[in-house]
Amino acid sequence: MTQTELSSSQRIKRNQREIIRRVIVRGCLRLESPTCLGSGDADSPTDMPLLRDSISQRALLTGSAIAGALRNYLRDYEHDYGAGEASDDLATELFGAMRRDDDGDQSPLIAYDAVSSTVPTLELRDGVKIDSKTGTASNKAKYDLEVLAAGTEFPLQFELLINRQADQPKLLQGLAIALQGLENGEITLGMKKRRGFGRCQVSQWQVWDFDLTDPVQSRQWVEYDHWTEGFLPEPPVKQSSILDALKVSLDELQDQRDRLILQATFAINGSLLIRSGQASIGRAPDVVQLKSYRNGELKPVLPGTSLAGVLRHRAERIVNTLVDSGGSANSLISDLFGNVNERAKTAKSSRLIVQEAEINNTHDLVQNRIAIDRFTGGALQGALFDEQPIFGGEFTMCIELRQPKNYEIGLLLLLLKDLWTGDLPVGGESSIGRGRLQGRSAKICHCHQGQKQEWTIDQVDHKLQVSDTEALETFVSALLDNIAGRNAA
Amino acid sequence: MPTYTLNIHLLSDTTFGRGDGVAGLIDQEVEHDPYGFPYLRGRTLKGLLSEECDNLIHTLPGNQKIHWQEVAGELFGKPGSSLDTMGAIHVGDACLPEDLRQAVAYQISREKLTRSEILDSLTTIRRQTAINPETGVPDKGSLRSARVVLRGLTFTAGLSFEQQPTDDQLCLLMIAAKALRYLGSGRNRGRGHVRCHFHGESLPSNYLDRFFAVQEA
Repeated sequence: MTQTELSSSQRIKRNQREIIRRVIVRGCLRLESPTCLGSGDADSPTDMPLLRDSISQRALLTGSAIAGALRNYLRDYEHDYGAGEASDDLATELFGAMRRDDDGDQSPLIAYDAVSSTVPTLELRDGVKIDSKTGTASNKAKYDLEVLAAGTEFPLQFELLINRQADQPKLLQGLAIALQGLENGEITLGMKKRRGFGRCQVSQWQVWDFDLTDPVQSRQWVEYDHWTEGFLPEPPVKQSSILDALKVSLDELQDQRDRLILQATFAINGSLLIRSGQASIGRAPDVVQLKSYRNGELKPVLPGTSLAGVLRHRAERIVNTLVDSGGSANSLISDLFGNVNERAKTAKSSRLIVQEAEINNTHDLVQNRIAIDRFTGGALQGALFDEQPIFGGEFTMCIELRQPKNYEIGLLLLLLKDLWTGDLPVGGESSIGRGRLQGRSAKICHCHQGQKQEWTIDQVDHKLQVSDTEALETFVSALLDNIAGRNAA
Repeated sequence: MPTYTLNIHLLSDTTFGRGDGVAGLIDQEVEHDPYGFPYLRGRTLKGLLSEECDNLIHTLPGNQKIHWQEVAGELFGKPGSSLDTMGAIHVGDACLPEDLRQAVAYQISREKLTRSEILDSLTTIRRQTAINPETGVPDKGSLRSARVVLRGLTFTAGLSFEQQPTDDQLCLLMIAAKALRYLGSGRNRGRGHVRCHFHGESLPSNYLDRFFAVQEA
């Protein structure tokens, strides 16, 4: 990177970036589900307090968090999930050196910190680990989190510095892919993003492109208003597609991600109760169904953590039932749902992503209940309580499995069947009949290297219509074979 | 000896790194004086201004490039140690207001305040980890913390000259101040986003026209 033309007046002979083009991108990021951007601070009433802006009450989304999320997405897009870093990646090119590389280049992309445009609405989420053997809460496994409500908006700003030596189209392509991930809502931020938190989307972009070799545009860059947040009223028109705005085409680059997306719509058969644990105000019942803000309105939800817990437990049961006595198939479950080994201090995150589901068309009803004294058969003193589950309603469960293997798809199909038939209840008080579901329709889609395979299951007049029974059956057989140890793959 | 000032307004939290940390608390401390006031070293600031000038001069067409390179050479100096190569400008540290610092220094001398109280009131601590792409969990050994100076503060640096600077030199400085937008550690990741203003007497008003005037060779 030394300069080519040296004159007597030249005082600088240092290695200098010759920046010939600057691209500035602005967008507005909107959270689609609750998001936990933790500060990592230990002195707080909750286990994970939110990161706040240093001088106001607004939430802070750091540039490093945005860049980290974009970098991961870009690598997944180019190489499939779980790929290690390589020095010739698009991601390395755009986001700078690999972590283990001591003398790599700095990132040509500048990602700004984003401060939420308003003081955000906060929600308190708590959860507890259920012991799969006893079915009750594990000791010391209760936690609570502060989360930003869906609908919080963050103004984003990026600046891409392009060197004379840099591969311009490659950098722009990388940026376009990464930002398209935000546009399509495929990038998640913050904690527990594999359990439905942190979904976000950018719907509009504003792009400035300064060719600095042209003095007029160079002057425009010097005068550019970089200090005002959000969209500017100035020249570039807001565009809904980042590809159009950056004038990039992605025809040569193929999405390498290998994933299975399962969307299933269920009706709630009776009632559902996910205890919210929030301190209720005024004369609320003792126990209330969990609700979360969507478009400024409180809606009942089925959190990803609950659903994933239920699925994991049932998956364990299926595998343990099928496995021959003496055999162990635990690796299948931990491989799919993630695991933490406290002793070896290793962990692996889940490959199964479970979204939080909004529940529509429900009714709130308060039920009064009382314990019966077993001895007298009368009402127990002091045991009257009331609760407010939701009755009726329906929701769409959306889960995604990254790098699925055939037997894992088989296991998911068995889980789907159990949910569908009401055999696998979700939420609390399942022993008194709450949380049973009735399947309506399901769509399973396998995307791999730009190829798409789709299957559907529908319930029409009490009859199941399956698009390709045999194909689905082979997945389940693959599971049986795998567990029996006949076919390791 | 004419003096000019450069105001640096922090638009985001900033780390004026100093290359060390505090064992058990933070990995990256900010540069601060004996009273706990963070500041940006003049040496660093001069480097930043000079870099921004070089970046812009590079993109200029032929003749102008040579002209402005000469001006930058006079202004910031040339490598090597002799009187001729010395820069015309002297860049001071960018600090918080002098009267505030003196008032606090007095309070500290009376033991009403301590240095760490001052530092804590002007800074906060940010923590971050890296996620391992292969396992999806935090990378081992990646948790780190850095102190950041609160955004919204304005630091002022004195820029002095031994002789009256030429209009060209002032013009270049004003351009550099306009172009200086990121400084400190983590400046590519949101920290250290700043807006600078150059103040002083008899500044050329048409500095942009002057710098970008297209003169074909």
